[in-house]
Amino acid sequence: MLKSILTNTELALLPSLVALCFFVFFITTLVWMYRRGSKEHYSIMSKMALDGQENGDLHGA
Amino acid sequence: METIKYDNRITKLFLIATMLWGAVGMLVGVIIAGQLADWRLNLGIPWTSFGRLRPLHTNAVIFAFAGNAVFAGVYYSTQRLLKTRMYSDVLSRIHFWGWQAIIVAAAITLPLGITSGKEYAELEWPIDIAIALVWVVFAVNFFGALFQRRERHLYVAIWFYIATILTIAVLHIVNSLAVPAGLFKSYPIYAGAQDALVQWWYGHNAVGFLLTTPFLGMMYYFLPKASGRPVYSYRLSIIHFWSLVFIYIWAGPHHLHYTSLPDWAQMLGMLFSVMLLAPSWGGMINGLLTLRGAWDRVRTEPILKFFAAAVTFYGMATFEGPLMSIRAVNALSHYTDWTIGHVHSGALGWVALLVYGMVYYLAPRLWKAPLYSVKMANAHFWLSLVGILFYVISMWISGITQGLMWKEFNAEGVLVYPNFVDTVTRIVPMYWVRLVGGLLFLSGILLMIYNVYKTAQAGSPVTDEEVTVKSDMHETPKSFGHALLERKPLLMAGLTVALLLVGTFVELIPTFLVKNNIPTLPSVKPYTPLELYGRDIYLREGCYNCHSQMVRPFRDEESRYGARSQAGEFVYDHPFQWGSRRIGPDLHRIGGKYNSFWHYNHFMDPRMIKGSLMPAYTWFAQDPIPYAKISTRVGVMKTLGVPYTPEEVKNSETHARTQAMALAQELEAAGVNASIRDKDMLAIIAYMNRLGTDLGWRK
Repeated sequence: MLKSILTNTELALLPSLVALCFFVFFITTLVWMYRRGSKEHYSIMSKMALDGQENGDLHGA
Repeated sequence: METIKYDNRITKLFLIATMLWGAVGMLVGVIIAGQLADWRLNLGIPWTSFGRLRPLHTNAVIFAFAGNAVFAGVYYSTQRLLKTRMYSDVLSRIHFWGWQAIIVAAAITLPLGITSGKEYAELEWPIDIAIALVWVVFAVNFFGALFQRRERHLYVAIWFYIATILTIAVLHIVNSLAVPAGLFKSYPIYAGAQDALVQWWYGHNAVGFLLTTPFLGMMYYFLPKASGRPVYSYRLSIIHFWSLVFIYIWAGPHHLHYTSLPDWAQMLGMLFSVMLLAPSWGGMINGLLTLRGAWDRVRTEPILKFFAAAVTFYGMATFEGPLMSIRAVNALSHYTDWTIGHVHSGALGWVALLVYGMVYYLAPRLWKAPLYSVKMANAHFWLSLVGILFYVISMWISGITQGLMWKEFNAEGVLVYPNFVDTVTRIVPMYWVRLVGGLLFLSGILLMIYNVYKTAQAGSPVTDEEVTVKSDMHETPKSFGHALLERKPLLMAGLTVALLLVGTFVELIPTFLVKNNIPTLPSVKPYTPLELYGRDIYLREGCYNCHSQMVRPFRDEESRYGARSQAGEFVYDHPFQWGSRRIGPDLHRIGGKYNSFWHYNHFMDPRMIKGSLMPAYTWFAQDPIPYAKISTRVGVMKTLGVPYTPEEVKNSETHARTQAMALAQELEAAGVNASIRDKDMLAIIAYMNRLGTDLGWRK
């Protein structure tokens, strides 16, 4: 059945369809990122790598 | 609060392995660069010929150098980001020693000519199984650490690691599916255009998910650490991650433009390759802007220099890649050294420089001693940078020169350079420049090894790092929706795999199921047993490293090589051999162009074509044909769907002997010694004579 569907599908449309899917996905991600209260949250997250050890002291032991 | 210990020893082991294998891989790279500048460096022995050493170089730098660096970076940063030790020390050790054993196995088997013949996936099936098992060990260790973490939020670096681990597993397993024909021989289950699509789906995404995503994770960890600055935009890093994971998986077919792959697949590959520019540059900008406020230190700090240059090269390589994936550009760049230059601007500029920055960051911390020489590290940076520029610029010049020469017609409509070798001799000076670049880059890593060795010597033995952390899960301020995704590794992993699988199936399945994608050509017949063994010799010697088997639908290619290739001609090719670079001419239409005696003389002394870079293959005239193995191989081909009859399988040895004898008599009549009987030379000539003749186009 899948074979029959694919054989009768215009595969040249596939790149455009997938690009459209990506566009929807991208917009969803953007909306997700800018959800209420996320600014403070991401501001803290951006410093996570700096937790713990000394930072910026490059050659010391 | 509780006190825990981070496992620094495993980081140390992977770091040492990174440096040592890096030096080995780059040394082999320098050797093969030398072989292209002067063919005599092939030394006339099988194990050191270009076709066998080039896969050793690519495997060593990708899986040994970059692979070990990824593991070092992941083990170090994961423990600190999750505030936990790795799940199991035993698994960490199995992972390390298992991976090194795989590298040693590759270093032995590839020069011996034990290869699957698939670019960047050359290792044979027992090693492939070992890779899968060791990768599972790594995955269990990593996800185990995720589930015992003391930090609720998963930092973006961890996302990149999750994507790496899952995607590489899928890529490796799907692309390596093969049927064994002995302990050191197998044939992939895919053939021709289907194999090409699977191979470059794997090949491109191996670049994406072994040489890009884990290094981006490391960038998001080590760059803030080294600069003392937070990530410029965490939001941008999220966009970077999800867009990259979505888009990357679709881009593979850009390696197959103008080939016999269906047009829709090529368009899909091009479109998504161009789109890939956006997330890549988002990541680059995020990396460079993370250095804001620290740029003054870039002047003096080698670590920041390495990181800043690495991120810049990431930006350049990810601009060049989408550019080259545009079909009109690809028509010129494909099969030329431009591709080699592009690959190395990514591999040396992005991957290696980031690794070097990481090594210089980690060495003083692991051995608890100041870096032995900051000046030496600065010298390393400049050696590397100048080396890359020599390498990449020479390859740009070489690639564009050769591409234009291939396509040049005179006013009468005749090829200006009908002899392929004329386009090779023109670029040899650039091969010398590349060799200089490679030597500079190699000298840089040797300097680093010495510097780290002296640092370790002055320091103390690497011990576990003791830290005090909160016993319960560290909570970050809650925001709406945060708990839905960014704290849940399984959900994150599930979404990543879903994106990967949707891309994979939608791209691959139509090529497998829709018949008119690969039209049947009734005149195309399976290889004879002797031709099949001759094809195995072609794989063994790595001929695909220099020769393509794909005449693209261009006027210059049809004028030079013959009728354009059609997808239906490759249906019995397990694996496909379309190649990715033409250091020698395309061979798809070589059958019938020369007689057997010409091939014999050419294999014995390629200098019969003045200026040829090809090594001599005198061992073809000495090594006997292993007739006993041929029926097994024909039988495996039948299992894979090649329409041999049971009779043909049963009598394949006899058939091979008969065909070999006829060829030997032909050569003897031309003056070749009778000792040629039953030698490999006959099989490879049989294969050459057969190539591209099924359509009968020469008539």
